[in-house]
Amino acid sequence: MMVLGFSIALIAVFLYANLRSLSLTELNKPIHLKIFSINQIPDTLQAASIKSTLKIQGVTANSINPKAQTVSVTYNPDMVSETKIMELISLNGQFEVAEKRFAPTPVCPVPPLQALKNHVLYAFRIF
Amino acid sequence: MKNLKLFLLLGMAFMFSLPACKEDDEVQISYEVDPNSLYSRLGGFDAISAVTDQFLANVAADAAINARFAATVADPFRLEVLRNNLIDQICEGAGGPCKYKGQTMAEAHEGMNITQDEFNALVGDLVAALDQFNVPTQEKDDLLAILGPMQTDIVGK
Repeated sequence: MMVLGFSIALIAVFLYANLRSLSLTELNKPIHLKIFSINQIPDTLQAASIKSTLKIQGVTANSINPKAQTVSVTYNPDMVSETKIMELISLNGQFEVAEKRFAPTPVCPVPPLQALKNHVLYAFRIF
Repeated sequence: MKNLKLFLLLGMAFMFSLPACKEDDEVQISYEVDPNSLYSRLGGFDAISAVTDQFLANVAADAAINARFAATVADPFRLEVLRNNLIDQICEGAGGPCKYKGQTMAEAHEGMNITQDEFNALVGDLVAALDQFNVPTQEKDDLLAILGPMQTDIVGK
């Protein structure tokens, strides 16, 4: 009985994940957002070069904070890799690039549970 | 045996529904939108989506507030929720065909103790994103007028 209940629940989630009509935002291509740190403060010219070199297909936006030695990039992971982005930011080895680490903060605008639904529906989607 | 029948029934129902789903996906989605609405003047869904990505990138590079978003940014699914909520909020507020499905601003920011300086930094990042896309002053002011009142539900909660 329990197996049957579980199976029905599984099929129901599968059907819901694949047959529900998606909103405009859900039809949007998903992005990743990475925050990188660079090992020195770039001058105006270098900052402009980083910004322009990141204007490639797959990168949807980028932002540079020279003072904080930080570069952030939003990108489509199916079109461009994190390694390629780091390579571009380095400006042919002028900068060492690493993913920025943050001290864990207890608060965050999107609690993990809110994203759980997306996790589950994405896992069951085949289209 | 009864279980097997049920499985077969559900399986068949699913198989029959697949082609319909495929056709739906291929249909060009169109919505009736007031051409004079802020949504239209901003350039529609794709423009709002592009500005939102730039806004997120600006926030992520902003040392004053990016630590607040670090955990969300690190998880693509949490990022997707945040991004979709932001797009829906701007799109719906501007009169577009979207529906915000997230928590209320007061609920989402409860216990975060966001300061006025942090809120101002966030607004600055949004304005910078709008400027990067050369959004005219009138449209920028109209959008900020829609989002501005949320401040009371965000700061100091």
